Amino acid sequence: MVIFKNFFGTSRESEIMTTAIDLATTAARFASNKTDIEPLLHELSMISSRASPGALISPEDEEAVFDIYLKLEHYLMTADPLRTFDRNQLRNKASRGLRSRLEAYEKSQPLTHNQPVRA
Amino acid sequence: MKKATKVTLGVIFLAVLGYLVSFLIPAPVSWSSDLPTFKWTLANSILYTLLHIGAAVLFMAAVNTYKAGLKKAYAAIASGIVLVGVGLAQVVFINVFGLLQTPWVEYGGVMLPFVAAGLAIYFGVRAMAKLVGASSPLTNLWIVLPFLVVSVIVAELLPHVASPLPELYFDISNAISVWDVVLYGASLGLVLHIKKLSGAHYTESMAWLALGLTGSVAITTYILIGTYSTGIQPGGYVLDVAVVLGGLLYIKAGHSFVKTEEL
Repeated sequence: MVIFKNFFGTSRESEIMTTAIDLATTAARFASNKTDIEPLLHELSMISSRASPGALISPEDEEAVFDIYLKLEHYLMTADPLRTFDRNQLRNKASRGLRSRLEAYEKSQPLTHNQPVRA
Repeated sequence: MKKATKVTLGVIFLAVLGYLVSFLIPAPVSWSSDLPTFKWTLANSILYTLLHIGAAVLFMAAVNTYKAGLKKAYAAIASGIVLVGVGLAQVVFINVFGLLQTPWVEYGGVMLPFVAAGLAIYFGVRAMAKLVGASSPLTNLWIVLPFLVVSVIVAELLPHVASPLPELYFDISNAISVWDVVLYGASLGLVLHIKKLSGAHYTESMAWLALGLTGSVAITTYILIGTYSTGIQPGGYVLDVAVVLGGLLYIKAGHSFVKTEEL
């Protein structure tokens, strides 16, 4: 049975993200070319490194991560070379609370995340 | 049960069923060796052919999620994998059913699946590498094709033990093995490059595809070295087991690829 378990492997697909950093990190996993999103990954790792383990990030940092997430989402929906992603599919990875915070942030912003990632 | 697991179990079930049913096939009158050898040789070749076809089915089961460019790339890779299995199995069928004197063998048709397999896999992987923007000398045909030609020529010039096969047949069969080693090797290099470049979502499927290609490189190299050192192409249960394992690696690669459909 161990052989079968190893053969079929485990999946992260059903995981629901409760933090903005996890959501953005998960979206970044779907990019078929990491080079295209490198500036965003760099920004994300800067914010992650500021957060102490287990503690919540500040509201300002969460907004910055939401901004990164929205740019990643836009890239995945419009520019990924292998696949066209669906917004809802991507956002379904977020818990209800996280998604409502993300969407509240999105409504409060002009459409800056629609810029190309590598400007 | 998820789609990837369902399709994989279905493919493995059909391969095992085909394997078991093949034991019912009677030996032809031309068969001169013992019956168990016929049964096992035929059944093993049917098993690895079905495993390779199954791997191709798995690859094609997930392509609709992707853009047209990747669909075409995976269709080429899948057809190459089928040709690997079918090519090896036809050699067994030709031997066990006494078909050596047929035009397919005499005019070299028997070699075509191997030539086409290397090309299909290489061009499929190359297309995928170009789609994700991988910049590698291995995508450059001005580098790969001359290297391929030089490798084939060098292989023809290598010393070897006396062979019972006609020299022309011996040379062509070695040239095709070298052809495949180079093309599978170039594909392997490109898949490793894509793996490094792509997001974590694709890492597992690229790693297993790389392992499948490593298996193909190893098996073809084993055949090449065996042919040079003994004068005839190696066969038997060791090769059967290696090709079955190679098929399972491609099945796992296909399974991992189907899993990438799920977000």
